[in-house]
Amino acid sequence: MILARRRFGMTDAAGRPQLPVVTAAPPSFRVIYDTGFAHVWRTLRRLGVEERDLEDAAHEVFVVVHRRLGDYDPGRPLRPWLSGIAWRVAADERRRARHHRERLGVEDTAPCPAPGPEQALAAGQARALVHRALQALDLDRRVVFVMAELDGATAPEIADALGVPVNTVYSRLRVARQRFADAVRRLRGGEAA
Amino acid sequence: MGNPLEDQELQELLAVERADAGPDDGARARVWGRLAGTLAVPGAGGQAGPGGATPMAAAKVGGGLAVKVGLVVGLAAGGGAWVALRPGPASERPSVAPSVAPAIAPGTASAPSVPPSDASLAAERRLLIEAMQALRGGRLEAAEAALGRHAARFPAGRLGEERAALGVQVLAARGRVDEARAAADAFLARYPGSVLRATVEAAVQKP
Repeated sequence: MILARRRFGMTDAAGRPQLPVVTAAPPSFRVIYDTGFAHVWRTLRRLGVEERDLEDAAHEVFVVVHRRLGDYDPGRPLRPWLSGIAWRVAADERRRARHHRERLGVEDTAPCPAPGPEQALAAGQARALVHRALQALDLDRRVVFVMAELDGATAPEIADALGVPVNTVYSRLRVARQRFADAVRRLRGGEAA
Repeated sequence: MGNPLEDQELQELLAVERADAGPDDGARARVWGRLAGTLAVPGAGGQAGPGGATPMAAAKVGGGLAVKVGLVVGLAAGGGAWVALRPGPASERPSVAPSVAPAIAPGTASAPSVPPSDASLAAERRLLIEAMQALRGGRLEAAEAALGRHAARFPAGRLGEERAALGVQVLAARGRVDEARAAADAFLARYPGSVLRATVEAAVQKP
């Protein structure tokens, strides 16, 4: 039975302990917040939410989490579920910003530019390079890439969290890996686009 | 086809990103404080995480964000449609008091939404478009006059943020540099998360 699944002792792709997920009653909102906040924050940032908007977006994610607590299956890992919500909030934020600009025909309000290749390649800026390469991916592929390559989620977990077929996850991941690799090479100036 | 990420340098890059520690405790406490003001969060009266700030104190910090659009509160069936609310300025929102009227409760079928457009919003928009077109056409006095009419007619209008941003641009275009910078500072203080931030900053950076 799925509710009997245990994930104690497991680690994610970064070596961090997986959130303990066991049986019985779902975790409280406070527990989910305390254990999932950093994950939500990282996910939003990787999905392109700007630094200045991260607190607002994280707030929105947990408003939805609070609202959907009853939908959460404690037999499933928490991080992919949170990632799915963060993905939808990031998509909404992107639409909202676009509508906001279009409302008055304001054209010059593009997000703050990401660090340039030179900056990204400077010592200690590997993370900036990753984030800039992630921008080469549309949001639907980016979330799959982030969940698979950075969070260590499995394809079925991703499919479940995003509400798409597993085959779609695989196809998005295949394209995303290639585009990410191409973007890194391009940013490093090694190859033409 | 092999995995294009098998490249060692790519793996090293991804390893750096995986090790991202995430936000500081201050962010955790501030967001928790704002949640306490938005939801009937059980236990919201306690400490807000390792940061140590109480939710009440953190909410006051978060409240400084003033008008912020896009509080996503609902997920319609199928996970596709999101309901967005545009809350009023922080000063108009209820103070943090988890025991008072939760705005959202788990299991609520749907949340009301603010109508996206009505007559007064259309009137606001017309005035600001008039100002913007005048600004673009170099008719700076006309632009300033349109903004003045908007301010007089809609002192607490829903497009106050846009009016303020245009005001900075008009002042800068008229060469009133000090006033433009002061207005830009006021804008950034009032709307720190505005998507018009880059526009405002660019306006006062021009020579």
